[in-house]
Amino acid sequence: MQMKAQMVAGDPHLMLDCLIEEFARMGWDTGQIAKIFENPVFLASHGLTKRFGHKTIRDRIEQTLERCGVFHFKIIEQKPV
Amino acid sequence: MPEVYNWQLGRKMSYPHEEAHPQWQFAFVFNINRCIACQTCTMACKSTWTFAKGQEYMWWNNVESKPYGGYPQNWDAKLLTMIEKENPEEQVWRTKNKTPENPYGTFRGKTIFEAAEKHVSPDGSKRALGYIPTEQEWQSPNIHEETATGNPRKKDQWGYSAELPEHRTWFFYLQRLCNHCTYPACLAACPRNAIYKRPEDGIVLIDQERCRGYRKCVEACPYKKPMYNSTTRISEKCIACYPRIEGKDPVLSPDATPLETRCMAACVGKIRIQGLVKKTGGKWAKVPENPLHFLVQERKIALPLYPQFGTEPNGYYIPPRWAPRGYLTQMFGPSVEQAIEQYSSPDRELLAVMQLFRASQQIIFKFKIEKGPKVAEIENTLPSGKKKVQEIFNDTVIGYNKLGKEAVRITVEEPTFERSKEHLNSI
Repeated sequence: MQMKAQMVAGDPHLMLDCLIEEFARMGWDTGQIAKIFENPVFLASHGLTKRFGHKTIRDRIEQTLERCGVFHFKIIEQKPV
Repeated sequence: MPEVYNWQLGRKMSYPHEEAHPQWQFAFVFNINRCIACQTCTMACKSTWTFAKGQEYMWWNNVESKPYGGYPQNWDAKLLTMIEKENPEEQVWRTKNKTPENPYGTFRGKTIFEAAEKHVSPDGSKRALGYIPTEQEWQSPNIHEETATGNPRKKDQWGYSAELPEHRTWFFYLQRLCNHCTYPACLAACPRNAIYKRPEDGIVLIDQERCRGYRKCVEACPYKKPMYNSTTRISEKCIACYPRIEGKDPVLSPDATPLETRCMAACVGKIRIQGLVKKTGGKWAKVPENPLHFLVQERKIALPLYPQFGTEPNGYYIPPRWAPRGYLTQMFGPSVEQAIEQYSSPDRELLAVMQLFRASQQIIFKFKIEKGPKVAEIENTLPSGKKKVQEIFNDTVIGYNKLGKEAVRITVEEPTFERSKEHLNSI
């Protein structure tokens, strides 16, 4: 049996928003989330960057964080003396 | 054929063996929404169990892209097509009679066991409808995504690579391992009775000394998780890291408390939680403080993979919010819409329990929530278009291990730690 790929309608805008929200809810900041979209190893998120461009991705991350980025604790490990 | 009760189908069904159930059942929940396919789980499994000769193409745990990927390729589309041919346009759910006992309604179509009943050959009737994948279908763990940078779509020495336009829109990652089914098709199909389900934890294993490599299990398993080892000439499958489940790791569990499997414990995306659920007969015992019971039975936010196949799989998934509902309903049954609506704007208790995903290597048997202050209000748009204001509280969720000792304590506002550059790889 030969399986043929079929186009099925989807909504890449919704996919982008959902992915950003997931990581925003885990407490990630703009830089951390943007890395997932910029890194070509992660094909789903990087594919969205190729489609929408870096600026749009950054803007959307910031808009989402503005709306639901309520997680703000961060502890940076100090250099050992 | 004997009849057994399958709660996921909301009815009795034919199964080649009499109904029998373990005391506890190995089960897990995956949150598809968070997975970015880093494949850390896949490599944790590979480096622990399948690094020997003959296991080169064997991935007990894999993460595949949907709808096009698959390991083996098109495993689900092929089987769905086969069942549809057996029972055209009758593979439907009746959802008006949903009750707590029948949470998804009643499946009116045929399971893989029922669809096989007509297939009689000289050596007896088939136990389950299935097929043996070709060698080529096993070769790509996730076609076009198994290289570090994927498909570059540039001309190289081999010419242009193929393009898959679907992948640009709504695809998602599906994490898969053996579902340690309540009614395993592999077990039903084995002519040597080499496959058994452990009474203590419901883990399904292949007795390596009894197996003769007939591959009936490979053919029958709808999820294609038993695999043939051409070097040893017998079949193998995920063993649910049973030494960890038994608490046999002297370093990580000196008090013999059960640990999550390697693939669960390695998940950096925090999409996984695994546990053992108490069974009373064919049903899950009502233990509302068990996180798996809470997610699967109480909230019904996590759904089984292809429940219509009839094996009552024990892996559950929170479906992705962005994928078309028809596709998801085919994959996870008729409660998809309700699960996504709930997940899109989780309430206080659900948000706290979600923090337990991959929070501890120890299996969490019980959780408790300590209330914290309200920290925010956000407006969410639900898939139905309704607006809902979500209140977020910085509650603390505490997970307890089998011995009742505290295994993890985590707040909703989870602190993040950043290592200094000098010590990025140090422990």
